[in-house]
Amino acid sequence: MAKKDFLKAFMTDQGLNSPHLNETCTGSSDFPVTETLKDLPPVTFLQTVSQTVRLIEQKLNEPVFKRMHIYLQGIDNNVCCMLQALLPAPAACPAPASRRTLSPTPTVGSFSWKLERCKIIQSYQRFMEAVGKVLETWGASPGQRNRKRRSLLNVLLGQRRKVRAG
Amino acid sequence: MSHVLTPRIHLSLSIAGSSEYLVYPPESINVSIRSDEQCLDIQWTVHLHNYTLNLKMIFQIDIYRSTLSNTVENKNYTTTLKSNETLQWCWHSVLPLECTSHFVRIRSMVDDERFPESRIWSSWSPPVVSKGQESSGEFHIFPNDIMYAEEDSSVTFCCISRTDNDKIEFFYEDRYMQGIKLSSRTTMFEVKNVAFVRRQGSNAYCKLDSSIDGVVLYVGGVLEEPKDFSCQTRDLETLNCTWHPGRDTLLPEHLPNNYSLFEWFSQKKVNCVHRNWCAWQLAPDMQDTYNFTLMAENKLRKRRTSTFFNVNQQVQPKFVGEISIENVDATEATLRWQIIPNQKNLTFLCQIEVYDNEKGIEYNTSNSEFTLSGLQPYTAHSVRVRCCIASHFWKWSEWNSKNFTTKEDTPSGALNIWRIVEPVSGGYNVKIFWKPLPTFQANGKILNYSIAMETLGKVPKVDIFFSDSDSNSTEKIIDEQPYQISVAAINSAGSSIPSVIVVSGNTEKSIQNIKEDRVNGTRDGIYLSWKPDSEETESYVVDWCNYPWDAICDFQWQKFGSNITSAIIRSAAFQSGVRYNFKIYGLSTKHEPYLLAKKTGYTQELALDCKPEVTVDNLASTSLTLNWKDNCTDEPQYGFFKGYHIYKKPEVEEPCDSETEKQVFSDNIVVCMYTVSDTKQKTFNVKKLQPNSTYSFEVKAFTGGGDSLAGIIKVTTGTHENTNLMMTIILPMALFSLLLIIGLNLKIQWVKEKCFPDIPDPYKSSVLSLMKFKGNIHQAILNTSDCIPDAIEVVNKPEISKTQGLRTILVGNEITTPAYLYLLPVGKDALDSQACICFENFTYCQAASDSGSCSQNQMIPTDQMMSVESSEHLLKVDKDYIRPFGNTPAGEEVSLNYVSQLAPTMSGDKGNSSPNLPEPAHCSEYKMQMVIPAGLALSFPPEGDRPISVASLDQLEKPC
Repeated sequence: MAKKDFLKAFMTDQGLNSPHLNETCTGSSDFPVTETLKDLPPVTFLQTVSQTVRLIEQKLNEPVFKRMHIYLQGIDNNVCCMLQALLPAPAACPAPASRRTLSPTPTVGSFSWKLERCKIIQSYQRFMEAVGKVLETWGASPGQRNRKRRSLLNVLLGQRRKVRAG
Repeated sequence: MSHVLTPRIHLSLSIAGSSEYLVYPPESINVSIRSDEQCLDIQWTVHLHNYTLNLKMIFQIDIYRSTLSNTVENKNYTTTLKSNETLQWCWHSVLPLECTSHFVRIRSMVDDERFPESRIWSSWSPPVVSKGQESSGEFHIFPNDIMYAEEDSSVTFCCISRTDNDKIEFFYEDRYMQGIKLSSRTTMFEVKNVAFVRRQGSNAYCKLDSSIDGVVLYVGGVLEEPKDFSCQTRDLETLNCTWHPGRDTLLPEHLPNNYSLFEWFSQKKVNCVHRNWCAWQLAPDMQDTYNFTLMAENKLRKRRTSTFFNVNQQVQPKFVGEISIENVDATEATLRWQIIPNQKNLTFLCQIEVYDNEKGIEYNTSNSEFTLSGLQPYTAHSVRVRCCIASHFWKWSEWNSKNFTTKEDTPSGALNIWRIVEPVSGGYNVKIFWKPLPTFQANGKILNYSIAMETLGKVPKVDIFFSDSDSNSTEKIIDEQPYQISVAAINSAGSSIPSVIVVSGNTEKSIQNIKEDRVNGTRDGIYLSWKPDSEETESYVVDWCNYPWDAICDFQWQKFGSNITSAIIRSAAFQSGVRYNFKIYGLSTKHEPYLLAKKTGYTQELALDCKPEVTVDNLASTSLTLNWKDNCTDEPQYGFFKGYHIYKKPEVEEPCDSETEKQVFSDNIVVCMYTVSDTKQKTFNVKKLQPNSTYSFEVKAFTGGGDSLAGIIKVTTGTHENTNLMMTIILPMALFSLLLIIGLNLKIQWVKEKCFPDIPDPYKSSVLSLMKFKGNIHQAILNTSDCIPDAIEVVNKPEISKTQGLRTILVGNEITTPAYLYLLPVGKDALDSQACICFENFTYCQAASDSGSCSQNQMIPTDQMMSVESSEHLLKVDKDYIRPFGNTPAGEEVSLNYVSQLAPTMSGDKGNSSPNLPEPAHCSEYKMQMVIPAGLALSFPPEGDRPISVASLDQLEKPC
């Protein structure tokens, strides 16, 4: 859903929905991929999700991404809520790691700006796909498939009990 | 970045002993690129000493690419040298300056009138190069990342490849474009007449293998010069400047058009936040005159406009708070207000408008308060005030409005009253009506109405009672004496002037004697007129009911001055097809009404809702009678029933006669219309129709509103031929025949009298007297009805040859000789003992010859000579036949043998029979009576084998 909404909308708005520029948008991603995420403990996984989303928020902190920014904040809030059920408040949603030194921010509205923002949105969507795949492996019972959020929370709470017991 | 290719030293030459000339070649030439403007910035200096001279100089600047032959600019730059000034000039390039290297060289010449001999060009400076990116070894597009252009302009791009002759593709908005190769690594692309695509800019990019480098081109509309730029102040503290920015340039939000104000006297500048107005703080009492320049600029263009004004003349005052209204009473109120700027040197002119429900009044004042007078009591008023500077009008302030209501006052004027008087037992029922006072007369809320009834009889009596404020009538039964009725409206401030009317039963008694007239209505209303009455008439009153069919008829009246004798009565309630009845009264100076006239009419009549049923009677070839039945009546719901229209519509068009009126229907069908004015007439005789023609007749009842539904009948008249025949042939023939019969009858009578007198009645015959019968006479005389002829026998008579010497042959089927003619009885009664009397009259036979009844008696001579002779003789006979006996020649008497009246024969009478009489046979009948010369037979020419019979006179003389 997010993939369709934001990337397509951005590319259409900016006139990037041509074959040549489509390819340019698809580049390597700085965000963790499925293979990295699936081996993470749940809390670490959720913290990684939270930090990555916040990083994307920072990169897309421009008026043109106002709607997407609100959407990302919603995801981050949900993840933090779950983390706060598992960890003490200060440690639940740590600030993102210091940003890497990025190339100078291109002028808003320039060609390079368009391509860079396109790549960020594309990376975000890849990341969210990876998150989705990992969450699927957390195994909701067939009867609970329609109640994933609850299933996720149960899994997390189960994890906490294990940690405390261990 | 610029590079001086060859260092040179400037020269200053002076030739001693001759004229001296100055040459100051440019020094320190520096060339750089300003990418955002695509400008090649060229800066240089001249020798320091020369600045002090303020010399006028010309610098020639050459700009070329790669070789001198590729010069793209040759500019003469003229200036007056100033101290410490670095000379600078910016060359705008169509091709992005990064696309290729540009070489700049400059030479100079003193162009000063003081040194005319020095107008000599210096040598060219060494070329200074602005290096392009073509040798960078990187893949690029220029301009890079972002650029701006105005609509319909042309934009040039270049793509630089990493190595020589790389295949580079260029796309503008995904449209592939062909380029021009500038060098082995540089290709130029030109996009002409660029158009606005989206606010996010149009994408242009170069593609080299999988690499893409691009630029976003923002295309905007041309920045227009601000219009209607002006400044004003409301308070002499802040100046508000406004302008019309023109059409939107459609550039993105992060690339706005910027507006700024610059004031030349104070040398202050303000960047404006808004695109169409800007605020400027005035320095109090420091400056009256201002000279503003408004500058509009964006990435592509700059515009400016100016205004110069005295701030004291551009003041639009404004109110501080609302206006206040004080001392409000029934007719007056005082207004107060406060307005700024309140500097003492300013005078104001204020405009006041006061409205009540109906009108507005305008006042002007220079003060800050004003007393309104002459206001309508108990009326809502709206007042508004605006002001301007009196000394120099600039603009009115906004209106400052307030509403207030004046206090009540006693009602002014008098009620408009009228009455209906209806007789009841022992007196009259009086209904008094009044119309509520209009607001401008009520002067307050009407609390109630007072009605005073005072007798005008011998015993004065006053009865006062009140009616509710929302009522408009009251009812009272009075005795037969006249009453004076006064009605007044009362509010909290007092009472109105009473309205007076005198009610008397005598007035109503006269109603029956006045005939009701019909009046015609119009769309506007119903027109009434009346005859002016005596001088004592104060006014006229017309009353009527808006709903005459309803029990609550909505009684109405209207008063007119004494000089008015006609009016159009209008009412929103008037409807078509409703008969309204009007009574017109005169109102005396003593307030006593008297009836003048009664009128009735419609605003618009309607057609009757009925349909005659038509039948036809007395249908002839040219006329017929139409009869109809209907239920059409003169009902007040439709119109005045005036009669019938009969429309005659022939199948074949024919002209209308004088009795009819030609009517053309909407479908262009022409018909002839008869008008029957008598509504009771239900029959109509239509004449002058064409025979054997078909007509449609429509009978419609009509009113002033038109015709009712039609009773229709189709009729075909009788044929024309029969009538004509009757008239032209049969009738004359009948007349002729009648005359002929009459003539013939007369002739026959005459002939009969002359030639054939009446056959004597055998009963009256003298013979009977001679005969001596015993017994009944009827036994001797046979009735003709008893005679039954049976057969004829023809017998020859020898006397024919004796008298004429001629032989007559009787030719017949079985006849030979003798040729005597007998009538023999046949049948069982053939030999009946009753005797017959036979008459043989040849004349009768001739008359009946056509029917062939006498063909057996044709006599034909056998001899030709005799035949001719006999024919002639026959003619003679014919002639003689009609001759009276009296004229018969004596000599011929012998030869004539009159065979006629046969005496009755009886069995015992044979011997007494006359020899001239034929012997009676057993039967008796009339035979043909003829006159024929004795011995001469009638003859006809022989006709073939036609049987010939001959009967001689002798034969006829024989008894049958």
